[in-house]
Amino acid sequence: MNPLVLLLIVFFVLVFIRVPIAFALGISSIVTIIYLDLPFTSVINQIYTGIDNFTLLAVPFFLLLGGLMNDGGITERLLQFSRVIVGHIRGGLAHINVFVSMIMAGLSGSAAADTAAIGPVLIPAMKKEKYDAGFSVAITACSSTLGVIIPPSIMMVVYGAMAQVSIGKLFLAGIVPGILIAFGQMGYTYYMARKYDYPSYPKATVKEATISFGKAIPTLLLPIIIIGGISAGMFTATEAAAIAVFYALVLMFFYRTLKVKDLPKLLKNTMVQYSLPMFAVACAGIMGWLIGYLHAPELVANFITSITTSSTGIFLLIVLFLLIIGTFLSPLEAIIIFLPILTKLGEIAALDPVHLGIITCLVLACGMVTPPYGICLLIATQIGKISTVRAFISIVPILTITLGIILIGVFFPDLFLFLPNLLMPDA
Amino acid sequence: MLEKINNLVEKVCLTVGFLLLSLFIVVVLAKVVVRNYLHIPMMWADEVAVICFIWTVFLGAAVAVRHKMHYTVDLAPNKIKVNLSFDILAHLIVLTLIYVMIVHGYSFMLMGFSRFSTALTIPLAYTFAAIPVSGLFMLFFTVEQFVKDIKKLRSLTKKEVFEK
Amino acid sequence: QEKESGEGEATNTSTNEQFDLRLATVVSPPHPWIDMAEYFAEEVEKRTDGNVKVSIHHSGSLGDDETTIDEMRLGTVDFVIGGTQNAASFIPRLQVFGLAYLFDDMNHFEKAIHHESEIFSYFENEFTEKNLDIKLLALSGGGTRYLSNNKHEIATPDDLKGIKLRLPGSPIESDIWSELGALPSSLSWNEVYSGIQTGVVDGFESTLSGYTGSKLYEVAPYVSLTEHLYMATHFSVSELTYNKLPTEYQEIIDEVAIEAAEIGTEKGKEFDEEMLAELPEHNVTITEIDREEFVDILAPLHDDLAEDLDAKELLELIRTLK
Ligand code: NA
Ligand code: NA
Repeated sequence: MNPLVLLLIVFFVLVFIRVPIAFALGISSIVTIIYLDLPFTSVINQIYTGIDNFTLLAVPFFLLLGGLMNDGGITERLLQFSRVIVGHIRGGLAHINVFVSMIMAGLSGSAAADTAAIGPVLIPAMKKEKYDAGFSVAITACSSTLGVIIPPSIMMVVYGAMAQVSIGKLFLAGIVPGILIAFGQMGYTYYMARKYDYPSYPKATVKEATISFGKAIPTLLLPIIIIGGISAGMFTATEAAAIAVFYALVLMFFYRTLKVKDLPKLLKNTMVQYSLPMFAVACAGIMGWLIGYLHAPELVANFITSITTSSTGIFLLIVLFLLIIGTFLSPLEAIIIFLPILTKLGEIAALDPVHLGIITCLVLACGMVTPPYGICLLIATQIGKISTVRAFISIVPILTITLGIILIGVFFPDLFLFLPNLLMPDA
Repeated sequence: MLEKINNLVEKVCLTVGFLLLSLFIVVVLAKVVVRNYLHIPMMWADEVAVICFIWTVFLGAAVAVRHKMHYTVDLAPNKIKVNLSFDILAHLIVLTLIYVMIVHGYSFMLMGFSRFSTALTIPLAYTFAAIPVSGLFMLFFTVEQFVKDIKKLRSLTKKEVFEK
Repeated sequence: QEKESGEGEATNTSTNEQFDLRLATVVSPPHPWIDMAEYFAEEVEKRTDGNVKVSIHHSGSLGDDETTIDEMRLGTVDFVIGGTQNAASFIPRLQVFGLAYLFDDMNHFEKAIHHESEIFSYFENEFTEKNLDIKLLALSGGGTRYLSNNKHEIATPDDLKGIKLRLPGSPIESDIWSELGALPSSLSWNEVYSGIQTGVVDGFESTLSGYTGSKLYEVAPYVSLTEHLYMATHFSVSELTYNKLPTEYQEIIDEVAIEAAEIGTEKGKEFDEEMLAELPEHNVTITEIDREEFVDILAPLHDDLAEDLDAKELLELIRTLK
């Protein structure tokens, strides 16, 4: 049997019998290594190499930032602010859901954290106001993926670190599609609200608006520190994240929503939180190495070029491929394992590395709301207490809009890339 | 008995992890300040940060095993008994990676005594040690989970029999 | 039974064992190391009648230098071509090649890395004595290192005062450039461009392939012809692999590696010349330096640093080669 086929079959079997993904990555690699008669110590070498990367040091900070947002009452302030801005539109609560996710996305680097922070507040509230349960879960999960699309984004940090693409440029490239996707979701919300006559909130008075805006301002500065600092080149991604954490801590002590004695618990929780994706990244390191070792990039490249040699054709096949693997793997694991194949194809199709990077990240973000393994979908359905199938039916139209935006980005690279090219005009 | 030991192990993991994560944050922040304002090279800062990072990842991953936090694909969320049986099998399968982490992680750690970090010039064995140590803790936690799940499955089966 | 026919690939394969070997390197083509690897793969296959096939894994697809060296120790990667500075994690004394202005000129450097020189046998021994299960096949060149910055022309150490200089993480290089008056700063290579753009660092030192490959001329248009280092390159083989091979193949590998290393050195010089000639196209200001002034400051430092590395004997060996 071809060892690559063995690797993938064992992986899927393990995943289906409920072996945790990270372990399934490692164990399927171990089986292949036994088959190839290679030393086991290589497994450990590649586990270590998987996470021995300076750029990954940004990940704990971006997750800590998310944790601070939840614990520090910042979510509350941002919800108030969102209500003032979009609450009066028909389907107000759903608009708030998308809008607040868009702002939170500028603060946190993860999508699951956003679902976990917003979902418990908004999903029950939406159900209470007679929104369809499927729609409530769907819009919460889908808008949460903005967390990894709008910078900062852990997924882009990992992509940039592994593919040697400027993280600052990837961050900037995420802004336009992030906003377009948010608008698309709000447009769809408006359509649904009209159709099912969902309620809205009274328009806020100028005074209310000013107060809530004032309360939100210190928090709204955070994305500017992060993105401004990185794109101005003042700091590296890790340093910007560290400074943002420092700023958020100061802010929270100032708001008195956080006490020094709460810090150990917060840090311990954060550690376990980031160890999950990072341990998966480490284990994905072995599988990624095996894939390189077994010459898979060349094999896939030969296969794809036998189908098409046009640059757009290859790009579309990449999108299709990512869409499929995105349903079974988290974005980080998919990046670690398949990046050599992607960059090889990107070379053949002569794609701009930032363009390939941003489209890859966008497509993989779609996988976060699709069964069987979409982390945002799983969290949101647990909160909404509905089946994944029911939620997914409501997700399909929202996802279609996102895919449409991604395809526009494939054909008109400048739409996404003009920001990074303008602000960080290298290469 | 095992539960008591594991409570202690978990506490150690979390406390050491908390200290390392704090050190990590301080070192990274200090590096930004020192580089931008004092213009002193802190070549060792990145290396200290990486060591802390790697240890926290492996300690955290071990704790996550105890609380079944590692992501699992849920194909049939409502079939509790079937899932529990699969979980028991999965615990056994997971032991293969844990075995490799302990035994071969240990030999990789020994290899690390002849590989030195650039700035601190200490053997990387001290970083590599995170893998077998984590593997050992994962072993404890997995055995605990295995026993727990078997008990749970038994009580479920009993209940079914009783209800019939 | 040895085969003599050159093209008889399909004949006799049943009596001759086949070896599929892997060579790893972190650089991407075009690069002198790739030329070196390709020559090696081609010639070894030819001279073993196709029985030893070497596939090249470039661009770090099997991992960075340290990882692939560890894989050689395990026998999963068979050959590595890489910078001696990265191999110094395993063989700390290789750091002497990082002592700026240790070599008088390219000629002196080539004498040192020659396979019959005492320096080569010194390191060949060093590799064996560390019990790493890797064997040094050859030392090679791979280009010359220059200093670039975005502030002003740098011709003397005085011009370096206050320049924030990006360096790889090694303390030796940090000591050297501090002594010359620069402010060392560690930063990953792919962050250099944006780092320069906004003043995190003012300059860096690199080969010209690194400089033009990353389009750094766009942000750091002053290049000083410091030639402070010649990229020393190691070409190594896993001993687990090597010992599996029949003696005749071992001999072929030894001899082809030496030839490949010579090609690497030559190609390194060619690349440098070509790229130096290209620099004016990118509006780069090229500055000749006052070499004596740099050497005068650094020569005393060499002894101290060599002592830190416990490599005084090696330093003397290199000095007497002149
Ligand atoms: Na974000
Ligand atoms: Na949301």
